[in-house]
Amino acid sequence: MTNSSSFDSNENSSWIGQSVSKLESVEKVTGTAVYTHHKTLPNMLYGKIFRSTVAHGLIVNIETSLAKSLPGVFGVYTGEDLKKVVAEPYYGPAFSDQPALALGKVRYVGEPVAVVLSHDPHVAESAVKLIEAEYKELDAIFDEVEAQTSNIFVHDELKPSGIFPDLQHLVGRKNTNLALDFHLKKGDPEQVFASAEHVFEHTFKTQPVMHTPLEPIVAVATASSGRMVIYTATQNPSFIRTDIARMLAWSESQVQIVVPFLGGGFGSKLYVKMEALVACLTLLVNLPVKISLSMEEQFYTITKHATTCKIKSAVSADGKILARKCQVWWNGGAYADIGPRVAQKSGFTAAGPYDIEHVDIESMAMYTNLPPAGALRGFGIPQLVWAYESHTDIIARELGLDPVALRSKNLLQEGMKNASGMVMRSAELEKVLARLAAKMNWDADFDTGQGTVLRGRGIGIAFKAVVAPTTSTAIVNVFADGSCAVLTSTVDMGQGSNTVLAQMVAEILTIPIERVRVVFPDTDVTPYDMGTLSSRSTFHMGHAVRLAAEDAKSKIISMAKEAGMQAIWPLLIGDIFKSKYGMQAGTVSGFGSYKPAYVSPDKLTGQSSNIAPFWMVGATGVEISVDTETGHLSIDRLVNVVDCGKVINPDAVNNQLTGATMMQLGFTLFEKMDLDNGQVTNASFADYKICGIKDLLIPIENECIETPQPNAPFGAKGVGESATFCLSPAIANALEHATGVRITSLPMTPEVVFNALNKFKKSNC
Amino acid sequence: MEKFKLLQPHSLNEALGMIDGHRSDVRPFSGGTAIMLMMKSGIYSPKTLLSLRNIPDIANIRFDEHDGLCIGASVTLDQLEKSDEVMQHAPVVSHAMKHLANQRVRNVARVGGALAHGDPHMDLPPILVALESKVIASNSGVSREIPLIDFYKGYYETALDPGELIIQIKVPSTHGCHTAYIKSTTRTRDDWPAVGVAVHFSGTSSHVIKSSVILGAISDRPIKLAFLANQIAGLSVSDILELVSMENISKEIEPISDALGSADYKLHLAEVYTRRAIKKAFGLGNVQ
Repeated sequence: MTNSSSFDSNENSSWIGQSVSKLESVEKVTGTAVYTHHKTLPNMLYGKIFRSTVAHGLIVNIETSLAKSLPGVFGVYTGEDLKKVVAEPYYGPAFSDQPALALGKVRYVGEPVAVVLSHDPHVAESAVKLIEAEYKELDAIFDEVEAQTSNIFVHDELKPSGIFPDLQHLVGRKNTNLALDFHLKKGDPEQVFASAEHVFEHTFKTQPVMHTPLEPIVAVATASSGRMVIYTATQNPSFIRTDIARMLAWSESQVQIVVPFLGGGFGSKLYVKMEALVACLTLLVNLPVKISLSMEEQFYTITKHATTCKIKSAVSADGKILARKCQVWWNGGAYADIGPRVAQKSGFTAAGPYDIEHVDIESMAMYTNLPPAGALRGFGIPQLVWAYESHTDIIARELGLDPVALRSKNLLQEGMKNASGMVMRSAELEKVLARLAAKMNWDADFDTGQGTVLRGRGIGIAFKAVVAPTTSTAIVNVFADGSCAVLTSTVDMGQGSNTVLAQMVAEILTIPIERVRVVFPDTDVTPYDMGTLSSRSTFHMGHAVRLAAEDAKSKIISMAKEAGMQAIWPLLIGDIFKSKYGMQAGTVSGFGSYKPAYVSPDKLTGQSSNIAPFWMVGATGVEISVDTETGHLSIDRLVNVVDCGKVINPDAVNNQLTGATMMQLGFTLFEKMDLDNGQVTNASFADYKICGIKDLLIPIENECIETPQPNAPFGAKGVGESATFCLSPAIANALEHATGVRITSLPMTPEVVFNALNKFKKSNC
Repeated sequence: MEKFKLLQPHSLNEALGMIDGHRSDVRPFSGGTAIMLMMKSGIYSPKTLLSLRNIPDIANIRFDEHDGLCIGASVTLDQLEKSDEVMQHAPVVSHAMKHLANQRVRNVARVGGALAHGDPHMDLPPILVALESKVIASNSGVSREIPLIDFYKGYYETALDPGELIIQIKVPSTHGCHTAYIKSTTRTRDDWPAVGVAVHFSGTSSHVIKSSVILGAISDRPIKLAFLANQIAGLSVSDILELVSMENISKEIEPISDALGSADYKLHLAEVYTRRAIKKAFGLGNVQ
């Protein structure tokens, strides 16, 4: 370790654009990294959850006496017990609709109904099996489209939370399963449909899947003297503090949220999950309480929205898209979680990255009696792209136009207004598409296979607006030896945010990255951040740490001037501290805060002149072989081209693109939560498989169009989701190219493909 | 997972004694990969587990002219994959191991457990049935030999008596024979197979003497296809391929629909993969 009292001069090297290894690599590889699962506290109780076996029903009785009598059981608690300490034990980001334990009614199979506490988790688990519940079963609704017109209602009335002012008009709305209905209208599509040369209409569906982070959801709560500390694996500690304080009717200063490393998140650990339950329980029993979900229980906690998307386009003979209408039903399950925001914040891009004069979008967040759905890597965009990039490809084929040429003809260009009315800036759609086509040798002859193995290729291109408006704040504390600590509430769940933020700070302070400590989120210490989601951290928190580092730097320069020292960076910081404080000690704190400009969309038309601070662009191309005897697909080539602005860390970007591709590959080819009357029947890794390293035998070719984003820190924007956008339609498009068969529902299992091939053969005989 | 007691005997006699003494509630296991899944999901909660991992008497592989390969029940699948004896005398087993689950599973899963578990969705049972293997089972020191083809009785049901352990597997050398094992997975590559086909032929491609074609995973146990075993002596491989049809297979097997595929689809896969396995055994065509 160095004891140098000056900033190490790094004039000739820059940290930006370097493949710096993740700061925590050694800790993680050697197994010394600490996770919430390691957390224990003196006298801590373990909670195990008793769950509903019916999809919709009134609770008649919960029989807990047998469980209570099991030796080692501390207690058994129901929703009514929680009300003794918390008047309204409900949580939720958009709607305060989810009880920590069911109250009066259960709304999905797997909903938490009671909790056993014991000092021995095995005893708690045994006792759960001794609980019996009696329900008066009600009819249940599972399908997102039927939910719109059904007279079965999941909730008696809508309960928007106070957090989002634009939902307040929904308060108390009754007899509906529609949590949020987002509309975007531009021009007059109906008139165009009536007169257009070609009108195409298709319906696409996606299936419910699960995030399957390898670290399941876990939280530990302890409270004393009017303060509560929650150690939890969450992606948004600041939000958890707000929602828990609101639920408890406490001030935010009474609630502390502490977050170590996360073993993956992918959206499953956003917003309150187990935190509300452990908070209520610790108040009830006055001892620390920990709940660690099993992998199986995650399937009953949060999922990805199943969707139905109807899409209709009017197209001229030469392939210009004149009008497009999209209706999207999002199957949000029994509790809204962030579903209404998915419907709205992604829904407005449902017509795709195209210049279309007449657009009509309706995006509906539906309640059903299924496990709650929330954000999953892409925040709804992959479901929408599945529809619009499949649909766009069908149009090209039916008009006899080249799929790349048709897209190119309609793509939004710099300076054009998108469907929401915002002028597009710095979204490199054209360059990304052109580069993808070049990498795929699109203009060259393509071997379409022979015999029982047919080959095809397909592409897709999409964009995503980062969620807006959101705020990030950061503090950079510079110590007297020139090293520093970065305080942020951004959560590193494996994506590499700590490393990238450290690179930015090291760049500004011109110090080695080893001398930058990124402090773990702790709401008592690290300042507010909206959350680690929507690929927003590099941009938003990047701005905040940049501003904080620059603030610290300017304070040090001022100190140098005050001391009459030379004020040209890098400075001998030790001498400055000595001059100011009489010894080499002290801290200089810099603060940074960033919130982009934003204009709320018009309620009726969805129009906004500034809907998002930046756009992510992702395009994917594949070449596949189809074993027509069995329906098995194999991927021969897979190319991702993205625009993520200036690349801060090439290895990290490559890993994000690769990880997102592998995740989406499972969602495309085989992952599906099987549901039988609302019951998940494959809720385990034995029955629910996710892609491993052997499931793609070719290297993924990733490339970035590195156009610096003008309003971004160092020109960089997000990339965590970009490779999820287009893989599914690219594969479906390649399948049609290879075989003539079009699949419109995910996943495309070998059996689905085989049956479609047979049906196609019969219909063409 | 509920609490359990773990017994870790260091000799076969010690293990058999412990089982005999606690016949009702001692559950032996060798690798534990399958039983842990059942325990974690709560569908099985044994009070006492007995580990067969630390028993050197049943942890080796040797070859003997009379008995063929003698594989101790506690040999791991990884040892099986890397054994020179197995590669020399039953290479179809070595090759299949490379595509069985994943390295972490193969490091701990053991041959005895892979056979005794009785889960039809496994790779090793159909292969070893095709090779006409026998298991040596022992109960309180009394041993018996069971042909593997008679070992499987149904879903998770085997011919083992309560308290009886597999201690060894005898696999005849496949030297001079044509063998192959291929499988179809319908989710991940390291998934359990939807259909696995093991074939074992003696003779030549123009004149087959004897054959054994075993379908795994498709129904409740490995099934030997009679129409590809009886009266095929003297036929050529192309004659035999002509016989392979869904109709003929369905006369002998009733596939079971599950998450890996519908019964109809599995029957279709069985036809395609049986044909491919036979071709592979004789080195005909380019088979995956």
